Amino acid sequence: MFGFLQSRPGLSAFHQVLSAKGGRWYRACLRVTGDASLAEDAVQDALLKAWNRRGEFRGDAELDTWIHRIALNAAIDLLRKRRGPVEEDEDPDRHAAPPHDAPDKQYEARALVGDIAGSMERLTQREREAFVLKHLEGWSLEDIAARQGGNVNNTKQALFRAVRKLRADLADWRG
Amino acid sequence: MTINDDDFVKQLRDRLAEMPQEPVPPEAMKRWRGALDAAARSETRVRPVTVGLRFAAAAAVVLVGVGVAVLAYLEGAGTAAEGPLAQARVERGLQLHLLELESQLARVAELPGTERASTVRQLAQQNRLQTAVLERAGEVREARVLRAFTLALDEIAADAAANGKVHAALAQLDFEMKVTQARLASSFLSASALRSQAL
Repeated sequence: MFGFLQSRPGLSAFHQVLSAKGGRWYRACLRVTGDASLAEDAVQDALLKAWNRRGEFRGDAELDTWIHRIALNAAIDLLRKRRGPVEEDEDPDRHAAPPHDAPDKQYEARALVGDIAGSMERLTQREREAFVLKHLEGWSLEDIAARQGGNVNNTKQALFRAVRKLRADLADWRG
Repeated sequence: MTINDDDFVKQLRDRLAEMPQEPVPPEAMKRWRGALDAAARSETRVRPVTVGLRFAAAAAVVLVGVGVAVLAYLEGAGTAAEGPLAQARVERGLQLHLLELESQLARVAELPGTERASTVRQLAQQNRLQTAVLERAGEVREARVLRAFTLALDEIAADAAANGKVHAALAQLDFEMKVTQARLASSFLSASALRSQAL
């Protein structure tokens, strides 16, 4: 109600939230882009955008959450700049077979990290974005569709394909 | 056992949460902090820059006024060479212009890139006006010197968004302006003495 009375966050608040949540933003951007340098750039872009637009920060969300969302958008923008626009619905059978046979138990934990990363990498850009934003970041279908410039049905299809591919890839450890 | 997609996603999310977290590269954290600090610093400069630009705009208005007045006088009184008073005014105008230019250039080095470019472009424009005044007054040599300054200012404005060689170029221009002012002062003193003798 008295949001207008809240002062915009200052430099120390930004540094504080960066220390506490910078890693989380970075990892979220890393999941979207699959590229460490792009993820780093996305976090930096997000910080600068948030700083320049901090007058718009209404305080009804946490500063961390606000920057987190800006970072995800920045990650998607950077990815598109580097790789071009997202490909439209492609051949769903393009996806490769699982990269290896079932791992030994001893190496399961380490292999799982690689498997998930590798499987995510093999998704199309649209599928990856949709999967990360929906299932790991909790965005609504409408928000994802708006961000991707499509409609909700396109997003649902991308999510369906992403889950199908991931299931095929990760069948070995799912148990 | 077959699980549905929702359960699969939940399992995947749980496994991801259990996995060791990818650490932030220390140099990345350092870079982010640096970028944030730089953004905050550049913001604190906005106010002085705005004042500087206002000052530059006011100076431009004064210079245009002086220039128009001199031109009007020269046109009313015949040629510049015929009016010792007009020539003295032109000389004084040029000296004021150079002092003003020197003082503004001293501040330009402290401005951020984009503000620096627009300020230098404004100074180049003032310089063009003053050059036109000198040409109309028949002061060919001084006009040539100012044209050289305009070229240097244009080059600095073109490079001003990047810090690169701008500081060195500004220092060089400042040095050349000081030399020119000293030379002009000496030359005007001689001319003034000659005019006094003639009168």
